[in-house]
Amino acid sequence: MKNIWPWLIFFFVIMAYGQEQQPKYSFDFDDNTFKEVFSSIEAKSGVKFFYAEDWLPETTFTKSYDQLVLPDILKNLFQDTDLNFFIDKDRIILTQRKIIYDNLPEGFFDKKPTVKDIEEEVVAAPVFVQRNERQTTRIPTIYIGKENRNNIKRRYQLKGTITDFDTGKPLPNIAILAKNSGLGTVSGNGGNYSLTLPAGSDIIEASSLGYLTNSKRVVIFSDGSLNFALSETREQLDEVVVRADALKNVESTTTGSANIDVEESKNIPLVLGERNVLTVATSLPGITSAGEGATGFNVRGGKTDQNLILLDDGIIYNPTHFFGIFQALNPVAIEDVNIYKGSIPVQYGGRLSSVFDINSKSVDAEKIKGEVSIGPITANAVVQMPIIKEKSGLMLGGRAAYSDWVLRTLNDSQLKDSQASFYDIIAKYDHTIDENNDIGITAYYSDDKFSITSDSLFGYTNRLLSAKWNHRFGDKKFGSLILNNSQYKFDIDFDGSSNANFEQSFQVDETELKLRFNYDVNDTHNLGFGTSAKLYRLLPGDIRPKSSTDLITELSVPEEKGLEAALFVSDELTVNDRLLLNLGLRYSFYSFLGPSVQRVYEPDLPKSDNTVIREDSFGNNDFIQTYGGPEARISARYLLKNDFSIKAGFDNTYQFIHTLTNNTTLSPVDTWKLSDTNIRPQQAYQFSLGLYKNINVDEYELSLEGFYKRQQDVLDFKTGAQLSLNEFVETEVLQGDGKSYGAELLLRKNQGDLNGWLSYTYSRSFFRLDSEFREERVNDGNFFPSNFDKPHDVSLVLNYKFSRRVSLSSNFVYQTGRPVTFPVGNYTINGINFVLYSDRNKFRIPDYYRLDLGINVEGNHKKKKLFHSYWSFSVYNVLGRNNPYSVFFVTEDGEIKALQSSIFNIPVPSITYNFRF
Amino acid sequence: MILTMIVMAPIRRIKKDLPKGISMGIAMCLSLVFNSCVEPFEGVDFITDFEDILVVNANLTNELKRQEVVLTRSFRFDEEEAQNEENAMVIVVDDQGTELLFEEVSPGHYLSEMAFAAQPDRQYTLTITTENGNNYGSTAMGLPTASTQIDALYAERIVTDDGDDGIGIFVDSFDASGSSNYYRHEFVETFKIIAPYWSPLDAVVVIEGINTFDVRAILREQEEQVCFGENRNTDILINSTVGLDEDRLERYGINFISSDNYILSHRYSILVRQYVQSAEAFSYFETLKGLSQNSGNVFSEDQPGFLQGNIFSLDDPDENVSGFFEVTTVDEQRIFFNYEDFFPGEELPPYVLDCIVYAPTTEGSFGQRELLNLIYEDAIRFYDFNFNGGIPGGGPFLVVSTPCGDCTALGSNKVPEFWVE
Repeated sequence: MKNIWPWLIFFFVIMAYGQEQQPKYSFDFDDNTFKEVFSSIEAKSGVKFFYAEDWLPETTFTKSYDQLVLPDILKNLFQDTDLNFFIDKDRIILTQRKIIYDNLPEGFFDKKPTVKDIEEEVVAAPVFVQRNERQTTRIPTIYIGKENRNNIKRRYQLKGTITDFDTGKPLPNIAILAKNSGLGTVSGNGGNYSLTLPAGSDIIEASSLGYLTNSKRVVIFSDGSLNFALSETREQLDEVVVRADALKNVESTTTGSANIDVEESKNIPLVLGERNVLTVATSLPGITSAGEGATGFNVRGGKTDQNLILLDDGIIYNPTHFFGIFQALNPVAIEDVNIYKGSIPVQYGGRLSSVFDINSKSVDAEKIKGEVSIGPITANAVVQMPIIKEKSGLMLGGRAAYSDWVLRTLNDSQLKDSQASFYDIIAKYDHTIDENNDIGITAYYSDDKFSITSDSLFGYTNRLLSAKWNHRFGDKKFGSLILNNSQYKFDIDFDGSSNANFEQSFQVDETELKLRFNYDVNDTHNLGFGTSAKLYRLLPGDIRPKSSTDLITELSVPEEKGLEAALFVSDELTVNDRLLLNLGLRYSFYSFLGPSVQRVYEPDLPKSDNTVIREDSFGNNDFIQTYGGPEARISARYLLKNDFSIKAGFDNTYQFIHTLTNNTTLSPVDTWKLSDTNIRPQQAYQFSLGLYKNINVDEYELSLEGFYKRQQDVLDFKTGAQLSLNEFVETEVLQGDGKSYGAELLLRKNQGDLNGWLSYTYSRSFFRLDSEFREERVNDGNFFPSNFDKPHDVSLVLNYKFSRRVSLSSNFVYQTGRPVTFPVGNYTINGINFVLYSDRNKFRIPDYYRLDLGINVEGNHKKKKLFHSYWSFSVYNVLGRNNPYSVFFVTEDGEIKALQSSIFNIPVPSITYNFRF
Repeated sequence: MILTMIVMAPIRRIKKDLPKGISMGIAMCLSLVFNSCVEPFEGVDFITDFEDILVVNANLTNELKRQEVVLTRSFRFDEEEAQNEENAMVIVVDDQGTELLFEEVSPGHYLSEMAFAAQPDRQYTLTITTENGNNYGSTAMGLPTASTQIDALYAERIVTDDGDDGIGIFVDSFDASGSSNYYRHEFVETFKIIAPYWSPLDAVVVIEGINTFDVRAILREQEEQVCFGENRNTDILINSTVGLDEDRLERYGINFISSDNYILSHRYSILVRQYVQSAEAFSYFETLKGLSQNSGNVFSEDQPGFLQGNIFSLDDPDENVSGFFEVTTVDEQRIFFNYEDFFPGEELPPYVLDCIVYAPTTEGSFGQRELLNLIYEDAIRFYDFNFNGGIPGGGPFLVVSTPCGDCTALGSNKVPEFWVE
């Protein structure tokens, strides 16, 4: 508020001025600089000029004036410059390109413009530039052209060249985005770009991976040029960067999307010294973690297997280490994560609830860079190096846990037998072939091994290979060809019995080829289209005796194969300045492929081993059963004001692969199952509606979204289902409906010493398992709360910067306790006592809450430093809240007891040291 | 899966190979302990959360007899056993409209007024009206197959996979028609017990005063040396032959008695009843069994929940009722064997408890005399007099704990009607 006072005074003074008589002056200038001219005028008339010296033309001025009033002299004086002037009593205020109006349009003060320094810049109507602190401190403002009261043209062309700051070399393929108007382009050959913008203020951002994003505020009054010189990211320090999605937030058509800059994860206190982007995701509305130390997310009432988690376009089946406590993605090698909880872009499909699109950093082809991070559990190192200078580079990252080492140092014989270790490696190669072609190849591998009891060893691995070729067809067309392969497998090695030791394994492997084009047709149409095909190969399980003395029967469930293909097209249609539509259609096709033996069951009886009519055999690659259908991905945005929009969306999705688990949480040894003749694909549709408001450009960002989602054929299981190593899982499966709805509120402060966000979600999630057969009904076939129905979910993430070097971060989470089924008594059947359970999910475990605190201390900010470092201190669960992870019941001395297990029931401190060079 | 993180004293390491001689102190504050962080959970109240529901046990068989229906209620965890549902009206109706009425012969136990056998090709429905006027009904059930037969019931000495030596009880059964498929078994084992420290005499307190007392040994009034113990199966025994080439149970293990179990010591008998049940009933019992067992795998807990049988409230669809109305085909067989039949010349298994002969004193003031108190508590039996050469410093009698000298602590002293020596 205090910044408004200079303004008020200023304008009152202006209004008072008009009444006075004007004196006349004579001047004689001969080859004088403007500065000299101003001095003479000041000396003679007693006025004072206010201006910035670098606005003044470098030319000199020669002219005589005879008995003219000051305004006429000045008008003549500035006519060939881009300066305007305004006379305020004895002050003459110069502005660059702008006219100062002495009448304000209505409502101007409501916009509360804030200017720190009037002498530097003056804001004028009718193009009112919303000023904020950030502009004066961080983003330079460029004025293009001079405002002309007679000019009625409202759109101007901005041209320019993008060069490398150090080498001066022109840079192609740089994205140029006008953030306010949402327009954008990409620099072409020679680094040139051209963009047509509406008159007025906008923020032009030139960004590319590997370069520091350069933003300039532009106030455009005529066609003009604006050049950018981009620096490489090496100078980028770890500031608290909460990316300015704010404008995108209001302007884009997508509802339910979020972008997480990996740097943001620094602003959330660490768990055991590990940065975790996925933890950041759960602090956003609509996304909850399945449980502390549990793998998987529940997005808007969806199950944990309904999230498509992609690293550089390849899928990762299990993105976590160590039961979900750590993410399996190297945080240093990751650039950002885009999350779609609704309005899933057409190029993605195959999962019902969400897409987590994780992008690795693009590799620096200029010089060697690296970052090392050492925490209490893991050590992590990432190195980037040029292979062909300025053309290609290689990034190698590795991370390994030495928790095994910690375990071994303990003096407990039981613990010495336990082991837990993991590592992950990532390699990325980026190659710029020429201006129009580049390729990127990513390879990723993660490995986990752990044993809980001394007799069994669990292990799981993710493997991913992804290659992408981008090709530009001129300025407006762009295409990508993507090939990727992912594999997830786990093994169980049991060695604790005299003659029943075994090895059991599971494996899923998928290969996808995807072709995607983008054609920016004109100002109203931006087309995207493409096709993809994916081949699944799944080994549902086999079990082998460990040695010849073991009596385990060798068993192998036959391989399953499936083909998933899709055609997709979308058009971003700009109807007018306010209405933007995104119309997308995807056609998903799936076929279960042979060879396979499929059972046919009595149609009127529950599927069980004794209702089999016959078994059909199919040959290799026969299309045994096909499913599919159109998927609409439609969203619309209507700008109520420049910074206030309403959006609506509808989308539906298919999913052809399902996890088999009767656990409430996703576990690393859950197997997956392809849809076949007896297991239908899951389907969902979702409506969403949202209001998006930015305050002070993007200082505050506020959004309120609502959704309603229905799911069909979601998998659940009969009680006591035998899921692993079961060739005919359909006899154990129930397919039911899901229903969820909710409202999600996000308030975010993006700037200032204090920043962060508050998210609150009210949502409900229900399932219904109904059937004509009693044994396939749960809770009488009524809707019941799902295992992850947590109506209230609050996250508060706050960062406070004490100085450039020290910042404090905090993370507070509150969630309603999840539903559980409790025993409610005993009963006797045939003389045997049994525990009577309540209806499914009738009770809830206590509410969950947790506070984490962290402090980041940066090394010094000297420019010529060899490397940059920072320390992270954090305490997880500061309040020591004992949040139950699971509740279970034991009978002791004939008395039932309720017990809870928790993972972190005390504050857990950690320290991590990072440095980069 | 439970992990606990605890904080340890910092371990300081100095790394020296960093550029410019910068040393790095890393304080590591952690250890991973694979230990259960398990504590009592307060969020559940077994008193207020208790659900009181009707539990129906009804198994209509093809035997000609007074058929039985048992009605109980669910009970709290702090209660020993179920309350009976008394004064209910129990009727079985067949699909021809014939009503078979039941009468309550003892609390909660209802027998059909007339003996009858479930007939093939008939569908039966159970209806119940409780004392407070609630109505319940079952779905219609019929006999799954006309007859079933235990072809063989036999005992064998075996060594289990876990290396335990003992007696296995096995059943063979074959249905050439292939229509049985779902089997449930029940057994009752009866075994002779001989109290090892039996004496014809028993210790009694005639009188106890402040300064005087009188304890004597008198002849026992009832048979307490040889008794007959009885156990029933404590697990649900179900087995399906679906998916096999033949509808055949072969060497199907019903029971296993470890060779060190005292019940094998003298003579043992087992009665096995084989029920052929419907697929629905099988599925109910299978689920019931699954719910009562802990899978032992941290990654796959069974999803618990209320298990609905085939009996429903006719008044309130939301009311839960437990139990299953079965109509089954039954056959039964009994076998006997002695310990010597399988363990010739081997030492008998240890008795059910260690028997120690001792001589509690009679010293002390009124109420403090050990022997007398033990007699009052019925905790000991007389074994012999503590004559010279007995236990020095002890009381007048040598005694043993009650089960060692009195078999009625473990079984019945009446010879069962079926018992054959």
